[in-house]
Amino acid sequence: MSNPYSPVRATLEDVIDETPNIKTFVLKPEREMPFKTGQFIEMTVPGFGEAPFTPSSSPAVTDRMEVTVMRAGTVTELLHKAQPGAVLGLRGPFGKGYPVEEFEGKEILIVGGGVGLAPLRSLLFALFNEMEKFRRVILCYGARTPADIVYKNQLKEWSEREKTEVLLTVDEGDGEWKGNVGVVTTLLKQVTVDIPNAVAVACGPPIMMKFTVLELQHMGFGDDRIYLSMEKNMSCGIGKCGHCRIGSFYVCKDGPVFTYEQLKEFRNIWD
Amino acid sequence: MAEERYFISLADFLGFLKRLATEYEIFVPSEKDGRFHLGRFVPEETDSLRLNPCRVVEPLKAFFFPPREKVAEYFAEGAEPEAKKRIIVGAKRCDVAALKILDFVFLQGDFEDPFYKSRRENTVIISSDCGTPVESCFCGMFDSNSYPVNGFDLNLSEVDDGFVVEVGSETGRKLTEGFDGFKEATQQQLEQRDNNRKEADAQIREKVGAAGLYPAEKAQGYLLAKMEDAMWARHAENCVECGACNFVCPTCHCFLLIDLEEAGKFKRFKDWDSCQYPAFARVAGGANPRKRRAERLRNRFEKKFDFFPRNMGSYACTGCGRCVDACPGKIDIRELLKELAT
Repeated sequence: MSNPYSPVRATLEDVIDETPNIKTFVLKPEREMPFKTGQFIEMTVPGFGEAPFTPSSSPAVTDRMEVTVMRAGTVTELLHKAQPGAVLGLRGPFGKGYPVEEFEGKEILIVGGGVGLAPLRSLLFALFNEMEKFRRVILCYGARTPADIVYKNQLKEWSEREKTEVLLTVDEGDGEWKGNVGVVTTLLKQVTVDIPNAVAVACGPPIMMKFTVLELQHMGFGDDRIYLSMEKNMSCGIGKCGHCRIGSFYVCKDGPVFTYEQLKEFRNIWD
Repeated sequence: MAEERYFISLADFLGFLKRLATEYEIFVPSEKDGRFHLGRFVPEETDSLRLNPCRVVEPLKAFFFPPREKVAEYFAEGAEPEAKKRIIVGAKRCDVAALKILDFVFLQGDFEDPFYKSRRENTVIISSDCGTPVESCFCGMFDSNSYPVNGFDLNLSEVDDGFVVEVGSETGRKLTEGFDGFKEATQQQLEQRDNNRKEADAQIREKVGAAGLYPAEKAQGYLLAKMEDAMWARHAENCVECGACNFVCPTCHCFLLIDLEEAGKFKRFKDWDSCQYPAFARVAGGANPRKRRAERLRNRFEKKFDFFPRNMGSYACTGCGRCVDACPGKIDIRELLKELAT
């Protein structure tokens, strides 16, 4: 019997501290769990509960999965206490990921905020795996303060890659920060993109996504070229439990990646 | 296929159930304090049966989607779907129609719910015509028939001394085979059935008109035009967030997965949930797209009259009126539907 509610046992192999409240968990599931970049999984703290996350690792790696988690609620609080060797559970993958095929031949403007860079890192890995297919990748990433920037070393490494640009900003600098200060949309004003041949992908806190969409529209992106990773409280992951509705969609099965075109008719999508 | 129908006397029908009781757990309607409920059929103690003239108090969904069901015992092989063979007698059109909504939710899409599926496959539905709608019924908004035309295995229509039985599925046909209580229905019995049905159809039609309601096809458009109306806040003022409307609803399907550790075992349960609870849509970190009761009340209507039509082509309400009876705040779905059209 295939039971979609039963998690696969996964061993926590490593915990990487990213920021004071964000950690990346490296998991080895008992059986391989291939996923498409942008799809999500439900991670179980045994005997306690589950929460949905989008893996932050490359979809090309199928025997390990990395999940970057901000401490925000009860499940994530427990996850943050977990030590290597701990047993966790994974269900999934669920939903629709990024339609990477549709990005071929295009410039890809990626806009991330805070821990929202997690799914985007998986997307970046997927793009880097076949970079010959894409014209250019521009990553605009914003964090609250320099200490809140995730994947610090990798950001530098990516900026040195061919056909790749990385722009960073913080809402609030510190003594050492020499880069841009301001919300992530201030970075969008600094990039030049070949709009007719580009797509934009955004993930971050709702307020950041809301203003990013406005700025992208202002730049000339069509609503069907703006891809968003939506967060709702997906419980079952399979379109049955009713929690994650946006308009006529369930985020778990119709998303989590949507175009703004799909969502714009609905109310309060950023609440 | 021609309609396959028989007549069975009440005594023979009881004999039929008694014979099946060796193989099936059977639920039959019984009256208590003027209301009908489904209860276990005890062959040794039963020498009579009175069919419910209208729907029973409890929704049929609990047989397929119980309030709490263990769906996993991880990381072990500990949760097999229940495969108990059951027969339910007396389901009405409103409940049979609701099963189609639940079938869509739990059986369609990329994933099947194996727990629902197993219960569904192992349950025989012996439905029956509705005779007298109760006060809260408004099924005529959704269907002009007071009786089911499909979705059952056998259907009973009360006539003098017994029932006209209609066969609705292969399972139903097999059950009738080899039991000689099923006789050919006479023309007179069929006419009596048809007359009863016409009378009941007229009653449900009349109720819809008296309540100021309209054909369901109009509800979606009316709702979308009233999304920002003050009516939601006004009606929601009486909501005590108890979830009764959801729990008695034959189509409400929302649930939450709950994990527990018991005796060193990790168990996962599928528990009924209510979209009227404040935290229903809340995410980690506290953001909540439906903070106000008005938004949650509207959510119930959005699901039933917009989400389901768009996704399934059908309304997720059958007009059973149970939520009207159950609401301690006296929030009446009929009044809201009526107001949508004004």
